Amino acid sequence: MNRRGIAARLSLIVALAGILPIAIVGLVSVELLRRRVERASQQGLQVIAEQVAERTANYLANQQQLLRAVASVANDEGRLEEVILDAPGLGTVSVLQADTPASKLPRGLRTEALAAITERREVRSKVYSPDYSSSAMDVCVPARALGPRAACAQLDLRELWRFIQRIKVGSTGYVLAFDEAGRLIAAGLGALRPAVVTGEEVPQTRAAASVAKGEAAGPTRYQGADGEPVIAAWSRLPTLNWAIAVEQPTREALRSARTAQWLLALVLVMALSMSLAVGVWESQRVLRELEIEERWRTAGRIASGISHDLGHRLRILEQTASLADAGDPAFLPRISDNLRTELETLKKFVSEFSDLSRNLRSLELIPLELSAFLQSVRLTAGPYVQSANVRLQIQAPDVPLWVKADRHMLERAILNLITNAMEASPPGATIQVSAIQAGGECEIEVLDRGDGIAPERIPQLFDAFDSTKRTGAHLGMGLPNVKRIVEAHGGRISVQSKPKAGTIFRIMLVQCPPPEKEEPARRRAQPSSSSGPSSRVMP
Amino acid sequence: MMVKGLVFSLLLEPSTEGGWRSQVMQEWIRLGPRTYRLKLGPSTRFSDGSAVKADDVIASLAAAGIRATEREGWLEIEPLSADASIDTLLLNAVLFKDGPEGALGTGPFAVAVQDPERIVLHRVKPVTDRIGQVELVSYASPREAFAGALRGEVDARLMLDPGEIELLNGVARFQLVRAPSLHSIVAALNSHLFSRAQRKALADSVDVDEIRQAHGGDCEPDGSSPPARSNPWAVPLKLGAMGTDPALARVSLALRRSLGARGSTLELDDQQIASQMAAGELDIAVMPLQVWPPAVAGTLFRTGAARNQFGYSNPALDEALEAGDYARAQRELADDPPAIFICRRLRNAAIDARVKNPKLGPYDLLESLPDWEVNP
Repeated sequence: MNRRGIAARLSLIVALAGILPIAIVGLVSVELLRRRVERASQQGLQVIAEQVAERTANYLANQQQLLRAVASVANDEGRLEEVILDAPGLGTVSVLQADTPASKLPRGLRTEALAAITERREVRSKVYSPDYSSSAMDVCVPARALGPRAACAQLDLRELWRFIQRIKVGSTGYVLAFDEAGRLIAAGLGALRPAVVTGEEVPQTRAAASVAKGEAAGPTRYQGADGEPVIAAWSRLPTLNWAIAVEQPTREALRSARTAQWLLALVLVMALSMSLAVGVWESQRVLRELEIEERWRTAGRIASGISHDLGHRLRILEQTASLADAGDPAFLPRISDNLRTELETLKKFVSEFSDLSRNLRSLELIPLELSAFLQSVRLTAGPYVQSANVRLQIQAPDVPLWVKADRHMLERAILNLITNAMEASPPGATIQVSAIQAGGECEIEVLDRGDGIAPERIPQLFDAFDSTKRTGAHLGMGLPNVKRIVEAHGGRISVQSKPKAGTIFRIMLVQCPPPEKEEPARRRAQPSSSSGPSSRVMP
Repeated sequence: MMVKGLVFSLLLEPSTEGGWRSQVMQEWIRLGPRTYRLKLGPSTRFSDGSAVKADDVIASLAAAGIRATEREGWLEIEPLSADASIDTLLLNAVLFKDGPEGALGTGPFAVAVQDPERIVLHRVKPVTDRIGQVELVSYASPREAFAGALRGEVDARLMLDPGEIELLNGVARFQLVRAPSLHSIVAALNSHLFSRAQRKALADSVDVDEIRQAHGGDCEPDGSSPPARSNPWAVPLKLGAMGTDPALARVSLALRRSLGARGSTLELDDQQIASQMAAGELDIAVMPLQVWPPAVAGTLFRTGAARNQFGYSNPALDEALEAGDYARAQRELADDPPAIFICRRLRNAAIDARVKNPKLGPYDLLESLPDWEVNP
């Protein structure tokens, strides 16, 4: 992962760690706010419903009271009829007596109207439609000043319509009035007014009938007439057995809570974005400083290793020079050995530095068949193995295994492990190099039976300049290089070691399908002498 | 009737100013109380594109009860019936001819579908942002029709009553459009019983503004009314109301109250009022009376007219009507009132709110519909 990626990841972790608690607290708060707003809206609607019910009851009671007052004093039938000119809500007023023909009796009362005459009591009809575009209710009261007669008014409920239709709760809330059967008699919502005209049922009819009869309190949340969710409050007119419903779409009733939710979301997004932006910028700056510091530290470690190892080499060369200065021919063989050895050591130095300087990002990864590859490794390592007096045993896989690899670099990594194994192995020992398939991966294993590695050293085994062989020709760059190479191939390396028993290095590489022209590729990768059994032992 | 003007054109139609205008006639001259001379416009065409010929006009006039004779490029017309008014007949004389799929007119629309459930009219020459199709939908009852309008099944509902207007209040889908109707509410004074002076005194003695308010809206002042003066008569007057409309009943009650002690019994009856007036059994009849177009307005009170059951006779009015001087006829009626003119009724219509400039015609309600601009 590059510096930018690391910075982004760090920032995200920090940002989430900071924002998440705020988000949780915010969401809980908004939910509490929403519930509180809904409760408050519900209570507000309830107050309105009760006020509407009270005013509706008062209006009808006032009309009845007016009729009662006029009927008790008017001693002229004509004047009683003319009362509607000053009180249009009374609709029409007629005077009845015991022999009034049935056709002249109020439509909503008929025989009940006669009770107002004979029993001298007030009677009231249900709501009905005298024609298709109005609602009325008949009321008869004894006309005391006219003897055994009754004054009957066909109350015009258009005033009630007006009153109900004018009430706006917020900008979209409205009021509905129902009679005792749940029939809609006035509606503040235009979409429901066809039911006022036709008397057809509306979705609220059943609930309204229950409320009107005092059987239930009425639902508080449901789908409104146009399918929109509403919150509602109900009230009952006990004198008339009517029900009043006040409905308000939740989108309006809970708008403040919704706004708070959106604001919170906006704040969270902004906070997260700002945290990420600042975090990335700051992390990149810190990482850049760390990188510079790390470079200096690495340079110091390299300088320390080089000065230590080259100092040792210089001392040997100084001693060799002293031997040469002595001019004694007997020292010539020793001088020659020293120079050859130091030359070889310095070559290794150069080789390891060369590996370090190689850019592994530009590896040329091509399909590589491991059986042929290991045979190639065997041929390359052969002379060294022989000189070290150990045996190299190659165990090729039973089936062709293909990986995508830079053949040269992968070979250098395996040879490095073989070299380490050779140096750790006693004379006559066997080093085993094998390849097998493990899941979707290929495993290359290098095994020796040497002294093993102390357990405490294993965690730092792949760190640069951390070799146990610093007194020799080692900069401690071998295993770190192997790890670099393996990781550059998208693989990984692990080590398993037991003191006095030996060490196993395992390289895991991603298996790939064989190339279409497998045979030519195989032929190119395989040396001509590699045909034969899958397991070969080399002295 | 509502769509007649969209499909068929009147040969002569009343203008707002009280005269005549025409979309099919090039010229017209009133020759006498029963005779007109008409000249057909040269470019008038039926909706199928065929030119209108003099024979088509003659046939159309005959269908309206008018005889037409072609003479030197002109058509001279007179009523087929001796006692009919040519002006009244012209108000129903539309230009048409029979086509293979029904009658063809010269209006902007043509009938596309006609069955018991609906009539569909298509615009003959479509115009951008104007109504291209009119469909008249039939409902089982006025209640269902109005409920259908509230449900959004139709885009317009004409001739609303006060209850419908109340229920449309706050319904954003519709806009309320109003125009004066052809009728006024009047209290016709029985000329069989009252002299000119008595009628004048009676008309002056009532508070017309107060009576008009009893109508409950939808009725505008019909000219200026002088302040009420007391009347010396103490004879109880018998009132009748021609119709069962609650507003008419309220107006009648208000009139009775305005007459004070003279107001007596009140009959609300649609059937008997006219005959009671003719028989002199009623003093005053409250009723709707056609007052527009002017060519028709005064004819009810013409001496001896079939529907003049009030016994009214005014030679000056008769003379003005004979001369076709309707303005003078109006003045004569104001000078010698056969009735107390209380208020002019309004016609109401709920029109879809997308229509930008809806107006109702003075005679034919939908005559301006072809010009209504519609928001897409």
